[in-house]
Amino acid sequence: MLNSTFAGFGNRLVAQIIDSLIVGFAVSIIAMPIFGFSFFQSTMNDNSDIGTILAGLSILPIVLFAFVAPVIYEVLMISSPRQATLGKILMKIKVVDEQGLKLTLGAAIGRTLIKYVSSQICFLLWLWPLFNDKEQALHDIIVKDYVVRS
Amino acid sequence: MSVKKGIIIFTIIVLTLIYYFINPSGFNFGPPCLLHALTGWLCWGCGGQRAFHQLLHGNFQNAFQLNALIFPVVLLFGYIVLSELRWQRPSYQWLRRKDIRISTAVIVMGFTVFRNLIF
Repeated sequence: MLNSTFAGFGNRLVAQIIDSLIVGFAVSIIAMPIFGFSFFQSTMNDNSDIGTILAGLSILPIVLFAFVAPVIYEVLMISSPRQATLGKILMKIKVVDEQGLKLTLGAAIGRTLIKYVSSQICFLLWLWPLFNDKEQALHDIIVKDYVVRS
Repeated sequence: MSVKKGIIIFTIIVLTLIYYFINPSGFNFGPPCLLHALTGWLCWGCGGQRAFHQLLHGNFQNAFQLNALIFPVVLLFGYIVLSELRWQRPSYQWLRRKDIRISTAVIVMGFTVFRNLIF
């Protein structure tokens, strides 16, 4: 049985901001040398097809990484013994299932994918926790988890 | 000041500055609206960023025409920010009342239908 206090909308929001900054910074660090390579290619005035293809291919991994990194980060952290991302750890909140236990890897994957897909459809769905007593967002309702104070 | 309050204030300042100086009409902020892309209809959020930019510049009529919901949404966000800054554990119980939830859903859905029928 769930025996904890819910996290609070503000704590969840701030945790998400922190996580976005962390992931954004990490992606930028990795992106810099790749964008540098791409810039170097373009400055060599290489207008050949090969040069253009190379420039495009150099950006593709970083684009994929930018989309995938936040998902992998959140899945691994939520399903870890800490049950929380770095942002949630800082805000002293965690994600639990209906029994108050750690989410399984499958549940963490489902939760994270639903969260990011639904945010692409309408990010205002993240306001859902304001309107229900259990402070659950859409992804929490579907996976049947709660975000509580640690 | 706590970390939480610091991040809230920092985020508010940064977002306000971004939306004040950069007009979303000329830039792609965030993902495109799927509903609009698939059906051509405007969702309840379409135009919201542009409306916020106009609101920050005092162009209330333009803001209203772009997305009338910007006014209650800004008021709601303002209430949330002030509550989080003022209290350690703010309560949003009044938002969870059945009449408030139903009213909110009716207003949002009604606005979405209305804006697509009229324009």
